[in-house]
Amino acid sequence: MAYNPFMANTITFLKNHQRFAWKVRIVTAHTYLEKLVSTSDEQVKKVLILRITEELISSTEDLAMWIGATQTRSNPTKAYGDVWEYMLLGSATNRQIVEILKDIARVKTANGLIKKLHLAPIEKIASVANMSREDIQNILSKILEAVKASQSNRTVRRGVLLRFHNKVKHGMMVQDYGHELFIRDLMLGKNGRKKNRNLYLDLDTEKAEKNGGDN
Amino acid sequence: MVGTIEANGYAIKSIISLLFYDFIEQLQNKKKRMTEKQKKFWLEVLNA
Repeated sequence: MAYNPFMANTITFLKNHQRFAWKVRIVTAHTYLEKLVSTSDEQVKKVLILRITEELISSTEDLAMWIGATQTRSNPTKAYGDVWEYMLLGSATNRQIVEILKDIARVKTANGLIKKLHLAPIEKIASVANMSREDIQNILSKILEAVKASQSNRTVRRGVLLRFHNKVKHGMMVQDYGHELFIRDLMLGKNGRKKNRNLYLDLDTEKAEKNGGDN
Repeated sequence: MVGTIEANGYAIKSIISLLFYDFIEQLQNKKKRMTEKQKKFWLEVLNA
């Protein structure tokens, strides 16, 4: 890794992200949840459930991008000199995001994850962090759990949630069907035939709370 | 559906922490091309 003056900016960015930006989606989801449980307006509830689901899927992309940036930093390219540049310039298709998550989800141990992220061995990290080896292993296990869940969320039923996410951000795809929301998805097959893939989203406050993590 | 927004957020925060520890570890063990003054500067930036 090259230590040049620009890296001071990158460190400032990382510190700032660690203080503030990492929780933007969490605070957003919790704020939606608070309103969701307090409002009696059914339409407002539906809008909030849509937005919480959107935040959930977006958060899987955030995680994949950070993993990509962490892996790329040890082998900087002209395009991505460091972590910050990767986060600013990097873009990934859904397939690439799923590949990043799958690659990590295959890992079985904390040691394996450390290697995948190209980080120093657990003992060295623990020493620098003034933490025990077990603490670092627990942190790595939690990351691994989040990655596995994210991979599942992005791939379940041939990526229905991701397609849902793409449709929801253009709200015209969503229709209010009374007790549930209907999202019409249309796929174009290789043979040129159109295929409907419809999704129904229940008005389920409990599920929305679980997605937010406030349980 | 499994997994939460919160778990993903904390995972990102943890990755950043690990990156910092890795930077510090590399600085402490980097023997070449860095004077003590440079090393001190970077450790101060990281620990600020």
